[in-house]
Amino acid sequence: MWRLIALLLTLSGSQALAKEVKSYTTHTLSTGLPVIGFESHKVPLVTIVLAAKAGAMTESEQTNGLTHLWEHMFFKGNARLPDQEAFNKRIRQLGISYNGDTSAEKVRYFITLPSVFLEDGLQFMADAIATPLLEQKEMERERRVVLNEYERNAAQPSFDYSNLMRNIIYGKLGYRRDPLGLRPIIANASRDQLLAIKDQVFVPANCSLLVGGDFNPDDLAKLAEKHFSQWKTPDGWKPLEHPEFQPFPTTTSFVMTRPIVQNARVQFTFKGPKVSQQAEETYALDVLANLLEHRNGRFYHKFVDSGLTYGAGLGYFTQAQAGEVDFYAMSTSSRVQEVQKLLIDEIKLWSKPGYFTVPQLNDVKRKMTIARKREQNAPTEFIKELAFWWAVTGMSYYDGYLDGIQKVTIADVQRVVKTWLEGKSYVQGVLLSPEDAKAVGLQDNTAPLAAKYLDMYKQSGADGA
Amino acid sequence: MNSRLNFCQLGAFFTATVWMLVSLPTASALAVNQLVADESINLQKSMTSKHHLRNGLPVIVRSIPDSDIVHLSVNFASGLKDLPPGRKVLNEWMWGVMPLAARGYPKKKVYEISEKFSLEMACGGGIETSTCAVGSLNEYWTQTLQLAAAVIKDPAFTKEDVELTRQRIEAQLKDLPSDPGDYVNEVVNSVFYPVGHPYRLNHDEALQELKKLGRQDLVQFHRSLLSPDNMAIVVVTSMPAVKVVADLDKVFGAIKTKRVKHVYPKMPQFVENQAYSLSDRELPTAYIRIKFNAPGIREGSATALRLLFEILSEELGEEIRTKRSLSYAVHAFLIDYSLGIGVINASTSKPEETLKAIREVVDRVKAKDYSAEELLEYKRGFVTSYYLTQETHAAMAATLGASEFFFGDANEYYDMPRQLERVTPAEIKSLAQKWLTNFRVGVIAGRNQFKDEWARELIQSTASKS
Repeated sequence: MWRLIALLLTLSGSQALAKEVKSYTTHTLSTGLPVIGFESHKVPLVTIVLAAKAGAMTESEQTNGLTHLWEHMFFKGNARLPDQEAFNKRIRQLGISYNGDTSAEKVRYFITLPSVFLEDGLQFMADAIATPLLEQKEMERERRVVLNEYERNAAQPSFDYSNLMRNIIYGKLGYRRDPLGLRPIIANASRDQLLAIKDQVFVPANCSLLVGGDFNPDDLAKLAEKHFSQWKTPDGWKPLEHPEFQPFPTTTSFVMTRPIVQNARVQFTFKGPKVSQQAEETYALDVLANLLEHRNGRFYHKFVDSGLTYGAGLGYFTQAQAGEVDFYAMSTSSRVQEVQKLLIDEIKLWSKPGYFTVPQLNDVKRKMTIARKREQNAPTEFIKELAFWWAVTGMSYYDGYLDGIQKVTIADVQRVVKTWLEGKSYVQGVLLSPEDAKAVGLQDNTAPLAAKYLDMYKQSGADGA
Repeated sequence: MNSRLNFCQLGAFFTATVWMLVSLPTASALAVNQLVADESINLQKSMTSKHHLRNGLPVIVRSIPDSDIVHLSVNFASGLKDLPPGRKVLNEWMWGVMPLAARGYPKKKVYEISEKFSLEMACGGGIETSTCAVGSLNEYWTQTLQLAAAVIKDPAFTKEDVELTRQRIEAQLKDLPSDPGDYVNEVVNSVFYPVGHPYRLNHDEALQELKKLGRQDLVQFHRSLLSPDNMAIVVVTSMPAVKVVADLDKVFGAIKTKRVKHVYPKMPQFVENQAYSLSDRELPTAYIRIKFNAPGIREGSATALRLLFEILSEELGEEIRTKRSLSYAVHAFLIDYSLGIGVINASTSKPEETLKAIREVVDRVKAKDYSAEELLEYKRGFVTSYYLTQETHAAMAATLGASEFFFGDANEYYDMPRQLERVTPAEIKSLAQKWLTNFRVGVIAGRNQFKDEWARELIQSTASKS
């Protein structure tokens, strides 16, 4: 049965912004697969997304990176389109634009096509998820592509920096936050491993189907049932358990130098709330991040508008199994130490009266509300956003998000500062060039950490890639 | 059911959609070989109106019923190409400072209004055109328009903002080589555009320019652009066009006409022994970018050329990624300005094999006689991208603004499917043979990982014999 969920856009004060009430619909197929629809008839296109609660968090040390390889194999042959040639031809016939992404806590496969082909698109996705051939021959080819993708990432100066930061925080389970994985695992992946992943995470009980754009919700329910009913959850299936990460480390600092880096990056990463356990905290942290971006706020004036940094702010990335709060800045290397000190000292001021004001808070709430309106203005992207929220937080969190934001007070913001940031331990990293480091008296001190946290990324994969 | 849908089914749907949107009284059948129904195109046109302010400044209003979002885009027919060498960096610098403060709007007030009404205002200078755009809600239209008009007509260019923006641009320019994906563009540009070419922007040269220029240069550059015949405004909204135009006339209608100088670029000359550049950097993967000349957007072959690049990109992906697994990211695209620029990109840990494969694919595309059916499949992909450019208010405004600038008619874009339908296999072959030539190659790779002859062989093989 369809359930209509109204996304009421409310504003603080008396302003009635919510002229346009948008809604999405939900439905559950006989196989247990949730179907979420967002109607928009602006252009005759539909976007179909398959989302899974999977990613690095559902991998083992032996399969790290293979959910991403699976993502690539999704767009290969299946029972109906048995080889790549047939698959590509079908893509052209239907005018499909397609892609996928894999992160720590979600996988999304998505296609956009003319809405006249809605049924063909649903069948296309159903075949891909339910009957993939996962042929060894195709896998041999595709893993070389994935290794090439790996090398693109490894070519970025921040590659080692991010890996080190993550592994200091999560220790032995760092791989559970790293969807890219390791070269040798990708290079030696077997078909059996991919088939095992399919039965573990790519089952209706762990996935959802989302459709956005120009379609009729009644038709969607029927068509989804017709094409996805063949795809079933294996008997006795249970969601994978998630081991607890190690306690957040005591304060740790490192300086990393890489030759091509031009400006310095400073980052303090703190432990943050998991949305699965502390949803209320996430609202106030999101508001805090937006308050720091307020252009008439003290932080923006001091760190950004003054020219002290080229950009500074706080990022809280909503996740269910882990929580991190990143406080960062980019600056000239000559000012990096000054920026480091000022940043960490600034946190102490955030809980003081007057640092954030009520008018600023109201501006931020309005901005976050209007942001959702803007998201819905692009249904192709919005349906992918919904897929993220479905996989990571569940839709009830998304539905209550704006209300949660509206309830945040200055006291709440001050409280989360004290709970998660002020005086708490952190991992601090600085990334700059060797020349700049020398000029300001800093030294790369990551050598002792490399054996434990970085050397595994240097192992080669197939073909010496 | 997995049968292929034919044109008629596709067209019938579009017709039905059009009907749903505006309740057209009838939904006529789609003509044979149409990708998009006449009704769909006519609907787009009927929702788009062109007006002129009292000073002649053209205004395009695109109606999006039932949406409370509004997008205002003020476009200028000037860009990097119109600035002489030594002043190129003004293009980024001036547009970067502009939205920060204006007469009657000190920075604090700009920030206050922007935050209060959640305005997303940004100005940017492109190669051929430049834009100040702001997104908002209909109910904030008055505040949005007043602020945008002040910023566009009377920017303050305060000493502090000029310096702040200079520092930011300097940091960005210095940082450019950090990302090889971005930097490889500059590597190929060094052999594609000769010194002094209107499209050329080199980050080292720009850094030098930053040191020599100052506030007065920004003020002068801004003044040189502000003329109704050098501007076009696009508004995408559900508000009535009459009201929108009247409001715009109050704030932009008094701008006086002045002579704006434009530079008309010529195609960069191909010099075979200067067509390759290597940036020596040890990386796990080599970055390759190839550029070559192509007809401009106003040429009659422009739509066919876009289709050619769609085909080329697909063929490169199929051969190099799917069949040979040489690259994760390989594709071709066309930059269509007054001059066209063909681009092929690839990152690979096997550059020799990849360059050879690129050569083979290019040779195949030049020699192949595509069937009408094959061509039709490629054309269908365009239907999706055609509508994607109309999905958001901002995308629609950008598309219509470009169409107005290049063709003097925003409706030209809507007719693209009609032009596409007419493209023939013979035309594709002829264009491929004529324009997939004279490649310039930029590479980022370690000197020990890459041999110059790999690039030179490709250049030689594509060098035009005429």
